[in-house]
Amino acid sequence: MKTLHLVRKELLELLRQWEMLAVILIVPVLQIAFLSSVGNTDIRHIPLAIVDLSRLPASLDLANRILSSPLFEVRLRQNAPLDPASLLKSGRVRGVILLRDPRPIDLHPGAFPSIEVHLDGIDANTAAITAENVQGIVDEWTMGRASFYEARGMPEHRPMVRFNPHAKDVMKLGPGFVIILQTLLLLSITSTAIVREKEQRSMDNLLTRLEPWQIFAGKALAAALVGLAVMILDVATVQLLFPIPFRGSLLLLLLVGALYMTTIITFALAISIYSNTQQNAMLFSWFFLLLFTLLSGILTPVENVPDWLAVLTWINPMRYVVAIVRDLLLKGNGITHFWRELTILLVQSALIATWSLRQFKRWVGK
Amino acid sequence: MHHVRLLAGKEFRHIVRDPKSLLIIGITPLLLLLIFGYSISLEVKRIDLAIVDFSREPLSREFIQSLARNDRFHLVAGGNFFSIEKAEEMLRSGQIDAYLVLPAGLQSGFSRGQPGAVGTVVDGSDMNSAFLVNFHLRRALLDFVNARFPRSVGAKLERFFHFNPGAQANFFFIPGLVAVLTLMIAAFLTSISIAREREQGSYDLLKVMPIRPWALIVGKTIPKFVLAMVIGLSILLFSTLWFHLPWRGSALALVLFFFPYVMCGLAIGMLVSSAVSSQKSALITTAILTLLPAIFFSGFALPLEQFDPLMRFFANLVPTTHFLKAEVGIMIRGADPSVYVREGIILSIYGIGLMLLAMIQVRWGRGETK
Repeated sequence: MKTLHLVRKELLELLRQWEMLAVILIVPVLQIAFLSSVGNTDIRHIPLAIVDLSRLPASLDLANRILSSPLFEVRLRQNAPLDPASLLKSGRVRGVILLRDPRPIDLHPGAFPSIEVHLDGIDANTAAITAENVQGIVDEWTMGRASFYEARGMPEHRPMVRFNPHAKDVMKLGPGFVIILQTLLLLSITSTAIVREKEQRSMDNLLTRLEPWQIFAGKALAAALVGLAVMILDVATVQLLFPIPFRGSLLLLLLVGALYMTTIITFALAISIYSNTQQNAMLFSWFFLLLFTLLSGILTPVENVPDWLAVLTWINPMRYVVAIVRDLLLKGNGITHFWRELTILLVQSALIATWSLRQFKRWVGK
Repeated sequence: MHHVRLLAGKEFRHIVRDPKSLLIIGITPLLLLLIFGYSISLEVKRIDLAIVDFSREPLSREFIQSLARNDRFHLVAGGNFFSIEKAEEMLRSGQIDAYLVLPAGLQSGFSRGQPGAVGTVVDGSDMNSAFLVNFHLRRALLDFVNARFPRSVGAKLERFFHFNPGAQANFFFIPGLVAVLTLMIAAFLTSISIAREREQGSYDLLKVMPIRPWALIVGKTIPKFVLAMVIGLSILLFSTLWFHLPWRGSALALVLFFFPYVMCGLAIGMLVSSAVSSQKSALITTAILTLLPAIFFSGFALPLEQFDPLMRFFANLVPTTHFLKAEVGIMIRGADPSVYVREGIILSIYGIGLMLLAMIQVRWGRGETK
């Protein structure tokens, strides 16, 4: 019962900061709304330049074909020679398609120009996708024309993408965003919870009335309630606006969310015990937020990190949540498919909670 | 001016007096950059593959053997009794990344000049790897067919990847993370200091002192500005040297871009902290307003090309969007800085505008009694 009083006090303290509550509740919902409007990974309207140095009729045809594709936005088209590197350097276009005459022997009306695609390779992924898109258009166009000259072509490659019909980079959109936001909120709210009492010297006051574990549980519970409210709001927003229906069980999602929240909250309480000032606690929690995020698989894949770093990804709780949510959301898989991740999360949260409580008791005891 | 100097001196002492925090602020970004720099690789090194072979001809077996010889592919399942249903189940449970369907009569189709279609089914739960898996499968198929049946007709496509021939993910992600961290640190520095003074009550003292709002803001900002610039530039320099990133453009121009960018961060932190009542809410609000947009809306995590017009408008409101363009352009592409005049002007407008807003808010806030 006393724990609940503490929970109430903590919640009242949070509610008094209405500006923060407004930001926590409203801004992320808007941000999720924007993110859910992001299209699929087909990158469209890539700015290109076409430089046609070939005198073949086919090159004109190909240039027109590229021009009419919605994948590209042709910013410049010319027949005069030009240095692709210097045009790319200016950043005006992401790619330059250069059409040249093939070797003189091949100069018959049906011959194809030789095609060069020059791409700005800094964003390696976008460059690769662009190259594939150009290849696709050229292939299609070649097939269409080649059939006149020689029937024997290539076996067609028919690719299919399962579980993700919209071809969306799901984790970087709504779901990934909610996971990062949750971690941010819980780490920041909880990591200051104990150190604030330290700074304001009110811990002793609390200790005269409550057992250490009650303080610990009260602080954790208050954060969990806020986290739960925000999670439900944001998951509902994602559900409502995100064009991918949630295929798995919502109950399982809630369970996974609760486990993850336990891990993060108790971990943040440990940060709070070890910090001297709220500022340091915040700095540490931001550091861990970024560390978890960067190694979670949301922004970049975690499968091929070097071995010495893999250890860090194994102990990263966010990694498992990302894996489970991806499974639940897209494949609609049941618990049989991710019991391994779930067990790790369970063990992790139990370990961190016990360890953190022990640290707290020891700290209070001195 | 006198007041500005005094206040700046006080703020500077505040920073120096707390070497522990200073160390954390300086070291943690470096640590994050190191870890991230080593961990990012968008490449898919190993593709677990299953093959459903309806063809069962010498040609299909030859193709399967060519895949088996390829180090990238790891054949997990296949054989005569392997069915599409089993492959689907393996795909669903994550045992394989993709499976291949070789149609019946592939070889005879070839000799008749009617090649069939080779199907590949890829797990799309991670679109980045799905794209790469498809890409490699297509490559393998093309290479095999080209080796077996040299084509006499067809357009040849040559690819050239400029500025980053090794297709290293670092070239984009490291400058991106530097941009994200710089904005975050700048906002953090101001938001924490004002919020703390408010919590401890010393802000009220400042408010009743005979200092003009601009002098208060400038005096409080200058030391943090210097600190944020030093941290931003040194993490950029460190990560560039450590990961051997090219530095092709003008360093001076890049430093010039850091000025308004850092100012944006400082001003956001200041605006937030003078609007909220505790350190905790200052920091959470700052993080939601700087960190999340800088990651998601700036072109760092998602290419701007995927955004629709409305979203692009919001992306343009995020300072990181403009800074990242100029940073990558000047540093790695070696573009002439004059290309990014527009970005520079926008960043300056944001930086100065936000600073002015912060001053107005401080003046306005003087009337309030707390």
